[in-house]
Amino acid sequence: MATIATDATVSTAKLNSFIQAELRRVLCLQEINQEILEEFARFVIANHKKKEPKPVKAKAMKPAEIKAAIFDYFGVGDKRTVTILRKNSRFLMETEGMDLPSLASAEGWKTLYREFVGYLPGEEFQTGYGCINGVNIFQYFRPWRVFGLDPATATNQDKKDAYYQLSKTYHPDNKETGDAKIFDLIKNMYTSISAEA
Amino acid sequence: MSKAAYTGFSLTEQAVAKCLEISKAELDEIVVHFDSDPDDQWELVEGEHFIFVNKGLGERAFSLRGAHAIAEYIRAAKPGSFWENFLEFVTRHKTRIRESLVATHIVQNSSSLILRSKRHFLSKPDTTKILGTSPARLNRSFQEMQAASMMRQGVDFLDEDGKRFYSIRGVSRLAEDLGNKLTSKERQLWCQAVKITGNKTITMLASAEDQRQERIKRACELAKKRDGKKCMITERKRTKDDKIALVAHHLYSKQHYRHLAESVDNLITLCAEVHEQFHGWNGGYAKPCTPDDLIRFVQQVYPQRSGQVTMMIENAKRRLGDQSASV
Repeated sequence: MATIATDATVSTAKLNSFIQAELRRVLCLQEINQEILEEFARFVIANHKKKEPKPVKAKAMKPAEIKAAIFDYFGVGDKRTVTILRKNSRFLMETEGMDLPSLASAEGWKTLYREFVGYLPGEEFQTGYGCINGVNIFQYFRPWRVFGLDPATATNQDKKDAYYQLSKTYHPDNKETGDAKIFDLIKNMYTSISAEA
Repeated sequence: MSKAAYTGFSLTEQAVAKCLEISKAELDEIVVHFDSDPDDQWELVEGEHFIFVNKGLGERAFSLRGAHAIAEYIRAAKPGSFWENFLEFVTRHKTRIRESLVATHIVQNSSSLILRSKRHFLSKPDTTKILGTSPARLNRSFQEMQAASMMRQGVDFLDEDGKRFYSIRGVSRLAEDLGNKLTSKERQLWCQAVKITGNKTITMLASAEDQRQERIKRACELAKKRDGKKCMITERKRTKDDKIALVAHHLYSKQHYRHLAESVDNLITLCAEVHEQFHGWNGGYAKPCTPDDLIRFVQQVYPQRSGQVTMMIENAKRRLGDQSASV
């Protein structure tokens, strides 16, 4: 593979989040030509010194708030106990066949919240192992965001292209960055969003 | 009217009135009200909620959904006295009547129930019928849920042999969506009722189906033992030098002749190779098969064993009786 000649200081320079985001966008384009690269270079010149936004520390939800949101989701009435939740018809239908987490621990309720309600505060943009486009794919099923697509406008070809791009990185055949666990989830996301009605 | 047209409209006017605990005259009055204003939220659709047994006399037969629509109307339009409401609160008698109408409808439309990775799935036609909607409306709901990241392959739906199945969770999500968005009040209430009663009914069905699968598995083991653990066509036996896999083949396919699936007489031991070869010859595993198909296959592919195998299958056929009207 051809590499670009760089000196030591440049090669170790850290790219800020603005440049990394733009880089991801450019990589998703179907064709990269000189015009796009020039545009990218100008973006780097304009943004390389831009200060990172201060991370806004999300206020964590209290366990009682998490539980209330879950009871709301399943339409549990005024009496809100675990026993009643376990007998709730919608809860039983939606969790059929699922390995239910223990509801004796706060972590168990958080798992239900992630599965049924939405992002927990502070988990909207995550980084690290298993995180793609800010989504921890082991915790959240958000295929459109992971694939960087808008469900209202994405064509079958867009879905295929996005899947191809992610496969290039995560397919187990890629000796450096491949990961079977991540790839299985990406494949499941692709079949989920590309299935015809 | 043809016999087929009556399918699903099993409730006479008398039966509906009795079930909903109203007089025949009250039922007539309600039906007139339903028909009087086509623009209100209450409607009874011919072919969906009822059919005319005698159009001249205005005599009708109702479907379970038709009876449910009338039950919901009575609840909404005719609030009872304090005492009646109190009794209903204590006994939930009328609620149970409404729920049992929905439960019966679910039971009648769940023949496709299958178990995959600890989840139960129902075919798309059954899901459409259970939710009382059209395939096109169900498709739209699926697409909306898909766009909202609420349809996950293997969890909410799956595609098998080119057919779509929805899990219990998938059905619940579709019922939730349709229960909020359908324009007809009766259809909305129906979907909401499926959400409430669905779990109990489907769990009951699922448990019956699991037990059935267990019984089929036991029958297969018994059939292999009866056949001396060898392939009845090739006479191959599993030995340490020839580790062939043996399967119990259903002479009348188990999906199409469900009532014979647990019968040992309907089973014959084959080696996996011959089994695969037969289903390939027959046009795939999804195609129905009968003992006559297996006889023809043996005559063509294994003519040397044709005499003995034909005799064995003919005996089994006699024991199972005439099945020509079963499919």
